[in-house]
Amino acid sequence: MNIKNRLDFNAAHTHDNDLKIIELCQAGNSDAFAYLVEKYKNMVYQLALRMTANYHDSEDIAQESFLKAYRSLHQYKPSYSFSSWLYQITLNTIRDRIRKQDLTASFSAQPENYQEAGSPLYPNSAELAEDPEERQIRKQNRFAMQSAINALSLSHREIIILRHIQNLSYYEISKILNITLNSVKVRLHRARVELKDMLQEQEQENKE
Amino acid sequence: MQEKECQNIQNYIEDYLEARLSAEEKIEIEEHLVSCPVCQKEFARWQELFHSLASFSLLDEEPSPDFTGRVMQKIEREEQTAAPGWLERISNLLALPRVSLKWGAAVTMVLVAVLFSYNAFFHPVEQYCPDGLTDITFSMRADATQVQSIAVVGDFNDWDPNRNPLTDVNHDGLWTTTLKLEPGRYEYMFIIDGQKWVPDPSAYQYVNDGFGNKNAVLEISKCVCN
Ligand SMILES: [Zn+2]
Repeated sequence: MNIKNRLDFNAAHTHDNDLKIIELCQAGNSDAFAYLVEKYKNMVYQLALRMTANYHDSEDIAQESFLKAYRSLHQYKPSYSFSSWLYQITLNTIRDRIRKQDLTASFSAQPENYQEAGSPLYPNSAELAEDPEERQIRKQNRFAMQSAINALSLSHREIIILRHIQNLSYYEISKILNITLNSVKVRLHRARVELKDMLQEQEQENKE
Repeated sequence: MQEKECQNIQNYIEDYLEARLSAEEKIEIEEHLVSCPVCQKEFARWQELFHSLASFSLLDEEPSPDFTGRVMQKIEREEQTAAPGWLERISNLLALPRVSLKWGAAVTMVLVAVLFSYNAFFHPVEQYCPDGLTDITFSMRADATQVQSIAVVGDFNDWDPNRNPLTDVNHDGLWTTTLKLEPGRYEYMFIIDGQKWVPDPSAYQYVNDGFGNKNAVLEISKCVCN
């Protein structure tokens, strides 16, 4: 069995686990839902954070998404993995807010703003210990990446984040976005080209 | 003619970087790249994009520490204001005791319940291999006329270049070695001819090593029996 098969096996394993928890929730044991929140909170939060580049909103979006999931748990179909379903709910919450522009101060194009603690791109504690020059470069790269991602159209931003930040398979992405595998491929390609060109442009500007 | 071939090759760069190609297709791309500086340049750009994204994906932020507690509080509040559902009415009818647990304790109980339901009731959790190790094969393509040795070094062998050499047993240019590893997250690199450090071109993820290079990252989730 190769690594990929093992991962798939584990995915199936985790799916069965989730189903058992969902059954418990549906049977009136609302406390069981806490298990699902604990398990998926980082996933949901990071999706929101990369989509909005905003700390405060992301926490809010994540809370709202879990509440929505809980309320519509009776609509959940076991043919989906719970995580795919949760991704859909979270994406809808994010799309709603972006459409209504119901977001607090959006990601600022000024690197100064992410230098302080509490900013989404602030280095983690392990990185604080590393060489300051290295840290600076890493920070700049991250900043460049986040601002390029933010400049993408909504659908391109979504697919880049699902594939490259959340590391989902084409199959999972096709389930979440409800598009064919071929559309995943095509859209992903266009999004990458746009991102690549943007980063190259940024680099050019920095050189001048 | 050359242009057309280049276009064809460039169409497959993304698939190459995502390890979605067959061995033959990979070789075709690699052979073209060696002799074509134009495609090399394009390949390098794509590679940089994939590396930057992989490095960006390693940032893992978490929501505030009381996140789950706050979600559960909101749910509890909603449940209280809502009329009792049919299940609740039935359980009242049957006079089942309704114990209100703090969610932390509930999570533990649910987890234990789920884990146990997987196994015979008296059997401990033995879902995984007795030795708990996973066979992982590292491989790299290299021309034996130009390369004398390849070794894999990483967190699993204390970065010791002498411990796990790769070999090209059937002289087809594919060097491999298979290690038994415990579940976990490992960073690793290949060393060519004892001095040149290169990241595994087919790794799923990369991370900066703090010395200006990128280590490949290997994640093994729990091992399962073959
Ligand atoms: Zn070419």
